[in-house]
Amino acid sequence: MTDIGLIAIGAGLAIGLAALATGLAQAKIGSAAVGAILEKPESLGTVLILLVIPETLVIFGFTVAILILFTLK
Amino acid sequence: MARTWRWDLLRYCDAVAQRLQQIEVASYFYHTELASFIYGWVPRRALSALSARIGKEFGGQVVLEECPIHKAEWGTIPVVLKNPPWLRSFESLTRLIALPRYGSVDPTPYLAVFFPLFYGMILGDVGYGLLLLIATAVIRHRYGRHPLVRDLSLVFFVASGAAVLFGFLFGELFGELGEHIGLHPILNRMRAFIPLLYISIGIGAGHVSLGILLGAFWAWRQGDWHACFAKLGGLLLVLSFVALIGSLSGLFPPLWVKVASAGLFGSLVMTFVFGGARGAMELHNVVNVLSYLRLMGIGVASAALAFAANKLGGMAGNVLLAIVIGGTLHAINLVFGLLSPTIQSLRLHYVEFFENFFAPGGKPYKPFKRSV
Repeated sequence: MTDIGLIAIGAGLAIGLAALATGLAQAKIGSAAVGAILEKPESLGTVLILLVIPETLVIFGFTVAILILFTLK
Repeated sequence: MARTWRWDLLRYCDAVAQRLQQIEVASYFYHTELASFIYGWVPRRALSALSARIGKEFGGQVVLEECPIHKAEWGTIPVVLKNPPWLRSFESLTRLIALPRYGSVDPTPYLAVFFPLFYGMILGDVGYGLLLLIATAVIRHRYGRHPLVRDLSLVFFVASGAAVLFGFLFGELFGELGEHIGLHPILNRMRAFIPLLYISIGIGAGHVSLGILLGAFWAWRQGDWHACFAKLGGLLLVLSFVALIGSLSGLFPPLWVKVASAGLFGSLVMTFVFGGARGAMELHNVVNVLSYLRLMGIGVASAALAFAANKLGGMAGNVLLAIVIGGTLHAINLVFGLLSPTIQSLRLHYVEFFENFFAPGGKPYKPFKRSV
């Protein structure tokens, strides 16, 4: 396998695994959030914050993927 | 049945609600055989009007006395946000989370500057921006009577304007279509990843630093010197971290590595000496700065979706089909373009920016009056 192929796989893993982790975390938070909003509609703002916190993981994955693609060439 | 009973029932409901409010307020009324005493809150700017009115109506029989406010009371005082009229629409974004506590910093002016900036930077497309400008103007014109709609339509009108401006910077009009009609990107988002990465970190460091400064100011106003210096240690940490990234990647001269390392060490000492175990919270600011990379990440994703819409449209081979395919995909992008930048830029405020200074839990100021 060429180096470029390995680099591409590395970049793909970086963003793919990060996205998986974000998905797992958000699934749990999301289901809890729906319950919380049903009981206390005014908690929407707080719940929204909690829901988007794991998104940082996928942004980090994306950044690492970009760094891999653009600095290892 | 609704026709006969609706109005009667609504009136009863209203009467009960008003009676309840009267009973609630009655706990602020005291009287002896000779004197009555009413205790309550009024915003400072309405005080002179109130005292003039009382003087006129009761002719000296009623005395208005202003009580000094003690710091211990700050938690119980109802809150009014005080902003010039052109900023008032942005208060809706603050209220979505919570009212700030009495005496604490109102983040509304900062939201009014940075929300459109972040939104515009993520969406960054002349075409989408113009469509949203028109849509928000129409919505405001047609449904503007509802206060929340009126506020949010203005917020998104400003944000869409920012998206148009950033669209010119990125040279995007429905993706790369702009380049065909002579729109030249100053900074091409599909190619200049690394410069955008630095710009995002720079903006993040600036925004987080502003939050820390506000937090230090708030701690100083409360007379908490330790917390104030721990915050300033956090500021030094963020700035040294950015200087370290900059010098390691060759943006700043290599000497800065030493300066930045000294700064990092100094900031750690400062946060732990003044903040103790709580000082560890300040370290979190470094992660918060990196979180602003989403300005670049989500932005590139939105540009790539528009690019894909044009490519797929272009593959159709027939002009009519190309317009239908491209148009549909752009419409889907537009919906994402409203949702995703909104959530991302709000999140950058609520999580990364507010963390350092925002004190939620203010009770809204509700003047006692007859409701209609």
